[in-house]
Amino acid sequence: MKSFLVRCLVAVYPSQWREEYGPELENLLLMRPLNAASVLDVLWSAARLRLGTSSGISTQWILPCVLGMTVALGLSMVFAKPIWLLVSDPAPQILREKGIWPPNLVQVTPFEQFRVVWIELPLLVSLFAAYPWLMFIARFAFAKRWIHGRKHRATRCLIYSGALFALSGVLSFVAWQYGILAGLFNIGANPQSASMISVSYYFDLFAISTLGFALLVQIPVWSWFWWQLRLRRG
Amino acid sequence: MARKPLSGPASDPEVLILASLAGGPKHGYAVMQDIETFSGCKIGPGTLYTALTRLVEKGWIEPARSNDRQRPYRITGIGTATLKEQLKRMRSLATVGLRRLSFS
Repeated sequence: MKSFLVRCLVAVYPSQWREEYGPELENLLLMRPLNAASVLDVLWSAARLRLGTSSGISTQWILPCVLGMTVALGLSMVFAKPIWLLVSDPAPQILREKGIWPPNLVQVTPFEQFRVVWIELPLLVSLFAAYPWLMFIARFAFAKRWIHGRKHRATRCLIYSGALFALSGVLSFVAWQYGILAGLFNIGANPQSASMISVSYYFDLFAISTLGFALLVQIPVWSWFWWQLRLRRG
Repeated sequence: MARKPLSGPASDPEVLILASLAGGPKHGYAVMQDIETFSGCKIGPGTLYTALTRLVEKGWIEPARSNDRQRPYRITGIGTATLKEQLKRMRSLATVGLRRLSFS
């Protein structure tokens, strides 16, 4: 039982590290009593290694990331109502064009609107708002350890990635305002049947189109980044 | 998560490991026991191995060849110089502190 637990604990470490030090740590853990403090110590060290913070790089990057996300989420919640008004602005016209009367989004479940406006929308907006900040912090946290010679290009890549993500969010929002919504509603539409558009369906379309576009734009940036990492790791 | 009864430079795992290896090559478990004996600090196994990894990366210690599952580590020339430097700094700090305490 103990040897199984020890193997599980060592398996938490990154594979590269395990190859070098795994058998030694396993042996050491088997030689001494395995108490809660040792288990926590091993798990904490493994987490630090996985986060790349054991080589003298500060763990202080975690706090700015959490703070950035919290501030972005807080602001998004404060401005949730006006943001929702902007997002739902094209809906009445599209619904009229589709012959739906009254041209309002409907609520299928009692808390649907609350969930969308005060939880899901702020989460989506805060992701777009905080992403550039997260990449800015990641520049300090990871680039130094992973990239070495390619540090400058890699840090630029992380900053471009953050800026592009936010920019693509804004662009897809503009596209949403100017016609993308009508196109999405017409996909597979059947003129014989009357339809209703719920608040969550409307928001899901919005979230999928904005996030989808933003992630699509990220593919070349991150492909280049991983390619640089692979070159570095040889 | 290192269980350190003391705080400050005297309980830094890297300094403690270097001080332990200054007495001769040792494997991980022996380093842990040695540190506990001479300093009273208990270092957890995870903390010990991440500190060993850092020291190997810095070139201050190196693993010796061994067929055993527990490789012994030995201090390098740079490691010895770094340890001397650290200990001198700690000694001068201790000297100043003790002198000032004796006058207070």
